[in-house]
Amino acid sequence: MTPAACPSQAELLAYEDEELPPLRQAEVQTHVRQCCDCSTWLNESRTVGYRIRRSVARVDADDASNNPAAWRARLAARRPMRQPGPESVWLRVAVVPALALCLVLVVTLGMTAMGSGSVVEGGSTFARWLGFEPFIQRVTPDQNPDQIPVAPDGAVQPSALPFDLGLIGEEVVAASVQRHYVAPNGLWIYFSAERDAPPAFVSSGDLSRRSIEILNGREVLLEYSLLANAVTLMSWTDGDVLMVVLVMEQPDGYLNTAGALEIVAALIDEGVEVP
Amino acid sequence: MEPHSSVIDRADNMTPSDADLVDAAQAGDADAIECLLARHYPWLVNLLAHQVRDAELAKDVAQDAMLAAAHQLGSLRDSAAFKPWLYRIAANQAYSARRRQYRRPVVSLDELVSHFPWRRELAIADPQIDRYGDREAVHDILDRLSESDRELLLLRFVAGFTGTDVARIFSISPEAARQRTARAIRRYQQRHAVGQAVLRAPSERESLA
Repeated sequence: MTPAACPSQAELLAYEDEELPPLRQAEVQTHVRQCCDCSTWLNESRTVGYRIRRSVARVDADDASNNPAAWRARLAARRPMRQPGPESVWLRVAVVPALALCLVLVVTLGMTAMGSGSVVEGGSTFARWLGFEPFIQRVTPDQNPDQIPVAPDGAVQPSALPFDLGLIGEEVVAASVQRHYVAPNGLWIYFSAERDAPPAFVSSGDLSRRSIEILNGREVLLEYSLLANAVTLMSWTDGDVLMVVLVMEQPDGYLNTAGALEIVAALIDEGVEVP
Repeated sequence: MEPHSSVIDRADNMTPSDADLVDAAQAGDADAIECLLARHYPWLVNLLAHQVRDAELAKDVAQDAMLAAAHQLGSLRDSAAFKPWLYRIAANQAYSARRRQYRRPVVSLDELVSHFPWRRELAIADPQIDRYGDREAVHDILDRLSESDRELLLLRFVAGFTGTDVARIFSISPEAARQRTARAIRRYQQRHAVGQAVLRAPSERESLA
């Protein structure tokens, strides 16, 4: 008997996790028993898991690992919730306005560009240095305005320029926007920072998550903002900071960072040599 | 007045679920909070150890994250999502810790081994892995993957997160979470295959000679 069409690898993982609806779980189970390709992939993925589990850190978790009482003293000794420090102050006064600003600019510049019918300037040596150039799409007068993503009405509030870019140690580093342009996949903003150092970009763990990726041998900070429904890429060199804001769609009630991550993954996989 | 009854006491030999413990903790059951922390500390510290590359720092970050979670537990709406929620708190603390170490010199894998005596113990416990050089190969492959791929693999295979758990962490759909995980597994397999080919090459050359 020829097995039915193979489930995707993602669905095989759902099967492995027993997270499929009962009927589908049974169907996939029957399929896997008959399909050499699917059973092989599942076995190989389990082998990957086995190797990783056996090879990564095994830290002695000390007495707290199996002793709930050990946490009692720690909880009791815990000081009251920390007063807002420089980072959290910066979060409130800079990050949220910064993201809000970016989104406001996405809206206003997008509409301005369309309204004036001008071609928005794009491209730069800095962008090429980062390998971004292939992804720049210029806004043209005849382009459908619906293709330019905008923030929902009322989602953002205006913010003044310049604003604080971030903290280096305890010192707030101011930055100002030098130039910007709009592309269908977001907004590109070029900052000039006061100092040649990466911004210590911090924000709320409830609103976003961050990671440092290496792009063309340079660190790029990725900020996935759940609140702003956007992905922000930041990089820096010689006092200049590039921020790219990718505003994403939100289908099916989920934040669609997958599309932005695909772009980011493609950028990182590009591996263009830095001149 | 009746003595205080904890969800742990009422469990009748059944292990209370995370959701049960979170509900009890949010209702003020101190025993439930302590049980939650003790239950989740071991996997968290192991996961963080690989992310921050420092066993002691991993313990510090894990403990800070656990205590922060205990104090913020009232804000957790979906009690069944405790594990992904805890990981998000810890991941952000780990990120901050790494940023503080930003300008420190990079530690080589060899130096890392010297800081992790458990890796030597593991070599004794599982000689087969050492025989094939798998441990170093696995670390090498993980180091060469992107941070997001590495994180997904560690979440699934070390911390035991399901696709639904990962979806909660990244605020994406479960389908997207599984697709990313499957892609990370494929990339791992590709790099593993390349490594095997490189290792085979000398012996094949010898046999040809």
